[in-house]
Amino acid sequence: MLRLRRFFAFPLLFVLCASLLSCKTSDDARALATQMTSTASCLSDYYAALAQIVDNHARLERLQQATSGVPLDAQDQAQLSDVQADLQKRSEMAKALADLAKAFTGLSGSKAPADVSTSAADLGTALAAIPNMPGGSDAATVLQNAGKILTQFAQERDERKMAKSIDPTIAALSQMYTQEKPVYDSIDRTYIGLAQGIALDLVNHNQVDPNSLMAPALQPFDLSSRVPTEQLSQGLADYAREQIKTKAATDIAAHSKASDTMDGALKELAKRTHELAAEGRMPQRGFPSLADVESWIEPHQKQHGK
Amino acid sequence: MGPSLQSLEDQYMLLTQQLSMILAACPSQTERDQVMTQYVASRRNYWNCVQRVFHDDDPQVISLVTEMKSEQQQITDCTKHLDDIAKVIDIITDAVGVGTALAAKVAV
Repeated sequence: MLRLRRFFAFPLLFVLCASLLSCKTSDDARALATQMTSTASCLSDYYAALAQIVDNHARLERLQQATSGVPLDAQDQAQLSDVQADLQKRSEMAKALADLAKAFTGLSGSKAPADVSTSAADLGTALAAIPNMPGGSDAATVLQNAGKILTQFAQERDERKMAKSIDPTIAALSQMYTQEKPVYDSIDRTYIGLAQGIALDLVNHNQVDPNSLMAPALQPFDLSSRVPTEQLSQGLADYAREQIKTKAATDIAAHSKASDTMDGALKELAKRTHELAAEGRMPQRGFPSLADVESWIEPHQKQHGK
Repeated sequence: MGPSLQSLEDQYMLLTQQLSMILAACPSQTERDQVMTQYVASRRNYWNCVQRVFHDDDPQVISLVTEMKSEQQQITDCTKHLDDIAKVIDIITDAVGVGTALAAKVAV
């Protein structure tokens, strides 16, 4: 009787271990997919906000034409439109990656292999639209045809092969961001720099309403200031200039921090994707906070009406 | 950061900061137009660079960047002597010309 129990115990133990192992692998893949969704969504919003910055820069150039007579023609407008379009393509690409990662996350119940297939094809199309993404054209070709393969992997629950298929794309995305990051920082700096130049000019020409400077004193009493018609006092003009320069420095620092954080998050994502692809497991949980990126994005999303 | 983009950004931003002061020192519209032309060229050079993404390992680029740094210092110095606006315009014109040469170096 004891021998019979042991005979049945070993297969049951094997099935239990296999199930546990399968669950562990699925946990790793789910964790990676969650991280990928979050990082890619944030990246998409970041690029959209940077595209908004370029649009703002275009408006400033138009304002500079109105206030100082600086020429602005169709060539100048086309330059900025092209840069804005390039950033929007990157935003769409990141969104396509987030959609693919979401589809992976939904696979734990094996309900949506079709979503994985569609998302993979969409990501491939979005990557093909970005000419200077390292290995972008190869990744695009692989992904455009990968829907069927990814679906098969999903149905077989082979998360390691799924990670292997996306590994080169994530690595290329991280590399592209690192290479282009100096341009992103520069775009933000020149926007703030131009805004600062025009704002200081407006102060010098007595064209600034100092109402907001008075607010800390008057708001507690539900009062608002009355703008005098004569020249701003020297003290108020100096205060306005000081505020412009301080805010400009703060804004530039905020973007620099956001782009550093985004760079770090993409590198971490690439590292963990490669880990799952190469070793079949991803023991680390928790991922870098994207709070610095989100807080930089937020006012620009509001401006865009998002 | 690639020195090419940084150099072009620095030139564009320096001229942006100094523009009002230089324009105010121009005795006639002719000089103002000359200054505006160079300012717009500097702006276009910068955005060209953003569009193209430079490689900064080209020795010619390195040489141009060094030259731009020298021109940049001359612009900063000359804005202290706006009484000789013709010289100021010449210096700005030379500097922006170097920027245009730099912006034309396209990564293949």
